Amino acid sequence: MVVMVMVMMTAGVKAQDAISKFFSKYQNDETFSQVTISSKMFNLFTNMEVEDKDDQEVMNAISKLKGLRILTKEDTRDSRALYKEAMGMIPIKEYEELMTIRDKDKDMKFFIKETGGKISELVMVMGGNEEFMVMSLFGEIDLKQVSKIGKKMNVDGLENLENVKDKKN
Amino acid sequence: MLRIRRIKQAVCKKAIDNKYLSIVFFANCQLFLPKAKKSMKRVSLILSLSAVLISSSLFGQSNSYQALKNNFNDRPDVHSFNVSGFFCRMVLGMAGEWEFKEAIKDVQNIRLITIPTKEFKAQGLSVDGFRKVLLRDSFEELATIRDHGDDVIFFMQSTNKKNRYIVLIEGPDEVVVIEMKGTVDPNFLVNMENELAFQNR
Repeated sequence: MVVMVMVMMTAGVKAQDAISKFFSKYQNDETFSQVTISSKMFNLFTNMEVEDKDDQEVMNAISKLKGLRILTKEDTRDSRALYKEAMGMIPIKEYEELMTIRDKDKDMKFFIKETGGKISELVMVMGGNEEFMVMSLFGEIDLKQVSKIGKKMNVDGLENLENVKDKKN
Repeated sequence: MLRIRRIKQAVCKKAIDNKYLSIVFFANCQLFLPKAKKSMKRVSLILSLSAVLISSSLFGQSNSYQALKNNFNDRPDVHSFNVSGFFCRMVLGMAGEWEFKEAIKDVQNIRLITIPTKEFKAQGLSVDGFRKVLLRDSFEELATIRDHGDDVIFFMQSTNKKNRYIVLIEGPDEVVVIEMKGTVDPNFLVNMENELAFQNR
C-alpha cells in the first residue's frame, strides 16, 4: 500500500515536472511572456462578497484554485514547432484529453488531470499561425466555471470551454 | 512590453513632477471656484490639502520599503514620492481613470521610488536580494509577470489592520517599487497583471 502510494506520488510529481520543465526551459527567453499567479492571490477572493449569485459561484470557484501559469510567444514563426514540443512533453498517461480545436488559424488542446475524483489541473496548449501559448491551471477546478473564470481573468482560449459542462459534468 | 514601459515612464514623470502636483491641483481647483468666495475657499483648500499631505507622510511604511528608501534616498538619480489615497483618487478622477480609482477606494496611501539599476550595482545590492528582504518581512508573492526583459512582481503583506502591497518592477535600466497601504480589489489586481502581460496581443 505504502509502495503504491509512493509510486502514485512519484508519477504525479513527474507529470507536474514535465509541464514545469517546459516553463523553466523558456522562462529566461525574452521573446516569451510569462505570468504566474499564486494561491495567495486566489485566496483573496475567498472573503469577497458579491450580490449576484452567478458571480458568487465564480468567486467560490476562483478561491479553490491554487495557481495559474501562462507562457506565451507572440509574432513568432515557430509557434507550430513549439506546439509540437509542448505536446510531446505532456505525459499522456497522466492527463486526459478534454477537447481539441483545429481550424485554419490555430491548433488548441485541453487536458485535465484528475486526483481523487476531482479535477486538479487543466492544461491548455495553443499553437496559432503567429502565436503560441501554454497554460496550466491547478487546484480544485470546477469545469462549469472555467470559461467564466477565463473571462474574469482575461485569459484567452478558456471561453472555448463554455459548453464543456454538457460533455463532462 | 509597451504598456509596462508607458507605465514606468508615466510613473517616473510623476515622481519628477511630484513637487508640482499640489500646485497643478490647486490651479485646477481654482478654475471651478466662484470669484467672490475664492479667497476663503483657497484658505480652506490649502488647509485641507496640507492636512492630507502631512497625514500621508505619517502613515507607517513597511520595514523593507523603508530599508530600500534609506539605502538609495540620497542618490541623485533616485526619485521618490508619497501621496495619500485620497489625493491619488482625486488625480485619477481628473484623469478619467475610473476603474483604477474604484479599485483603490480603500487605499490609505501610496509610495513610489524609482532607482536606476546601476545604483543597485554600485552598492553591491541586487533586486533579487530585495525580493528576499520582502519575503523575510512577511510579504507573500501574489503574482509574477516576465515580459520581454521586464519583471513585475506583486507582493502582499497581511496585517491586522490594513494590508500592504508592493509592486516591484525591474527593467533593464531601472527599478520601480510601489507600496500601497489599505485594501486593493483583487479583481483589479488580476486584470492588471493580465493586461500588463498581454497588452500587445
